[in-house]
Amino acid sequence: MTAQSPIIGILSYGAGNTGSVQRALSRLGIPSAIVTTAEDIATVNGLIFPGAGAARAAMENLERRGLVDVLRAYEKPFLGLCLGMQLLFDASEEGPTGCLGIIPGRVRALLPGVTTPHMGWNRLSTGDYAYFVHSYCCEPADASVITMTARYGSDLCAGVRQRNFLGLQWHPETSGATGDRSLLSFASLCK
Amino acid sequence: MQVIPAIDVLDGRIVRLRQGDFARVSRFDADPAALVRTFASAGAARLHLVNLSGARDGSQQASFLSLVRQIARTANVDLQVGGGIRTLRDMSALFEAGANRMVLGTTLFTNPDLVRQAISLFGIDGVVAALDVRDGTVRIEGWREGTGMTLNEALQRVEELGISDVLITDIARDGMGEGPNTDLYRRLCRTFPTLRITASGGIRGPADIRALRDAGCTAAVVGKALIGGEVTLQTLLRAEASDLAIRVIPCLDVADGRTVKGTKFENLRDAGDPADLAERYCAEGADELVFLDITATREERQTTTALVARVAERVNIPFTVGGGIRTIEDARMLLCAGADKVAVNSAAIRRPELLSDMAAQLGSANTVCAIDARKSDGNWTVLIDGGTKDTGRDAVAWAEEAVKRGAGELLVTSFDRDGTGTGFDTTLIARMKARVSVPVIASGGGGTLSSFVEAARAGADALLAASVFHFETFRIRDVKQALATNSFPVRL
Repeated sequence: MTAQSPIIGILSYGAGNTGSVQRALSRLGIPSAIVTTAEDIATVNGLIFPGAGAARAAMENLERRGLVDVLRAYEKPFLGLCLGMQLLFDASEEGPTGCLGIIPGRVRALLPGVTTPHMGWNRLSTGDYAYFVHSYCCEPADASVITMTARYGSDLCAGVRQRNFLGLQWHPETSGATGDRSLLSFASLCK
Repeated sequence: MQVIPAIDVLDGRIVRLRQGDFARVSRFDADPAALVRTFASAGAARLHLVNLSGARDGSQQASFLSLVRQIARTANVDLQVGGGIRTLRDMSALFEAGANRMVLGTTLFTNPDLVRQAISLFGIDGVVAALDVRDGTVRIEGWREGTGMTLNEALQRVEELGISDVLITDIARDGMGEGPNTDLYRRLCRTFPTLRITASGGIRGPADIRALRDAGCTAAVVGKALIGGEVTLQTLLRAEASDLAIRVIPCLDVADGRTVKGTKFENLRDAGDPADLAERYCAEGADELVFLDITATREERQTTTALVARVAERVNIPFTVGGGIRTIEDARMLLCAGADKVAVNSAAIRRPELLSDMAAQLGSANTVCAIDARKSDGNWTVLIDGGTKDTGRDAVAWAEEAVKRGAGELLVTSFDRDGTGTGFDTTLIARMKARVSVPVIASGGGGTLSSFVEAARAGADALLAASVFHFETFRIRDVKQALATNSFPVRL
C-alpha cells in the first residue's frame, strides 16, 4: 500500500449514518474510507463497524451483501461500535435475530424502569465519561470478554474484546477526548 | 445505598400519617401482602413494616402477626417490623411469624435491659434501633412523648448497646413530601462513622436518594412517595444504580448563518458565529449541541448543510440539527453532513409518517421530535412554523404519538417561557416524563442556576438554553456545579 492508502475501513451496509465516524476520523487525521464489499474489506488494514438502525435489518443487509462469513473470518483489527458491537454476539432480542456469533452471548433489551434509550454521558468503569445511545445491551456468556462497564439501572457491558474483535457500546466519535483517545489507539493498532 | 419501601398498617389497612399524627391519616385500598409482593418483584431486598395499631396500643395483635406470616410466606424480602414491640414475647412471636429484624424505638429508652436481653437471645443483626427526632430531641410512644434526650445522646446509647443499624426519622419531614433533612444526616454520619444510618422522612425521588447517599446514609426508607404512586420503586432503584449525567445543552438558533436569540421567537439579536460558538461550548464542557435553523421553516428553505458541516468539523460531542426538515432525504443529508441526530417539528405534525419513516430508515436514536408547546387552560397545545401557528393539538398527546412512531428523544420547548429567563415549565416537563419512556430535553426559560436544578428535579434528562450561555450570564460549568451540589450526576 502507498502512504496515501486508507488504512481504516468504515463498513457501510446502506442502513445509515457513517458520517459522524468518518468526520471524527478525519478530524483526528486518521485516513479512512467507506467500504461496502468483501473486495473493499480486503484492501484496508482494520475495520470500524458503526452499525445503525435495528439489529435485524442490519443482519439482513449483511447477509444480502454476502458479508457475514467475511466478517466472521476477519483477522485484522475490528472495532464494532454500538449496534456494531452487539452484532458480534450470537443473537439479539431486537427483531429477534441471529447475529454474527463471533462472541458467545446474547443481546437483550434494557431493564424496565430506566429511560430508554440510554442516551447521554455515562461514567465508564475506567473513570471516563462516554456518550451512549442504545436500547439493547450485550450479555456475554463469558464475562472475561468484558473490557469496561457502566452503571445504568444495572451494570452494563460497555466494551468487549475477543481476539482481534473489539467492541464499544458507546460512541467514541462523539465522546469528546475520551472517544478521540479510543479512535487514535485503534488506528495505531491498524498500522 | 439500599432503598427500603415502608408500609404502615393501621387496623389491617395501609395508611400514611402526616408527621406521626393519628388525626391526619390517609388510607389506601391496596392489600398489604400484595403490595409487598409488588415491591419484592421490583427488586426490594428489605421491607419496613410498621404496626401503627401496635404503636398506638403498645401490643402486637393477632391480626398483625398473621399479616407478617402471610408476607413472610409469599414474598422473598428481608422483613423488618416495628411498632409497639414491648416484650421478649412480642419479639419471639414476630420472629416466629417470619420477621427478620425488630425495629426498636420506645424500648431503647423505657427498657434498655430488654434490648440487651433481646440481643443476647436473638443476636445483634435482629435489632434495628429507630430514633424519631423533632427539633433535635428524640420522641417515643408513637412520637407523642419526649425523652429529654438529644439525638447525639440517644445515638451514644445505641452505640453502647452495640447496635449498628439505626433508622432515623425526621418527624417534621415525615409524610410531607418536602424532601429529607439531608444536612442532619450528613452531620450524624460524620459524628457516628461506625453506625449504619438509614434515613426516613420526606423522600420524594431519585435526587433525594442520591443526596442521602452523598450524605453518608447506607439506606433510605421511602413510604408516602411509593404508596401514593408519585414514584415507582423500580425508578428509585434504577436511578440509584445509574451514573448517567444530566446533559447541559447550549442551543444555537441560526438565521442567515448567524447565531441569534429572541424573545418568544421574535426580536432576534445577533449572538455570534455558530462555528465559533460551537467550538467554545465544546471546550467549556457542553454535553451536546442543538443547532436550529429557526428561519428555515418560515422562509420555506432547507437548512444549509454547509454550515452544519462547518460546525460539525470543529466539535467532538453529539450534535442535533433541526429547522425546515420536511423529508427523509433532508434528514439523511444532514446526517451525512455530520449531524448525529435530526430534529423534526412542523413537518412531523403535518405528516406524522415522517417520524415513522425516519425511525425505520435512519434509526430511532437519530430521530428527535421537537415540540413547541404553549400553555392554555392547564394543558398545552402544539405550535408550528416557528411558533406562528397554533395547531390546537394537545402537546402531551402528540408527544406520546411521536414516541410511538419511533422518536428516540423529545425536545420540548415552552413557548411561554422561551427567552424570558423565568424558569423552565417544570409542570410540562413532569407531565411529559410521566407519559413517555424516552429522554426529554427541557427547553425555554432557563434564566437562573436554580431554574436548571428545578427542571432536573422535574425529571428532565437534558437542559437546553441559549441566551444565558450566549450572553455569558453564566457558564455551562456553573450549571453543572449547581446540579452537582444538588446531587444530580453531571460530567464535570
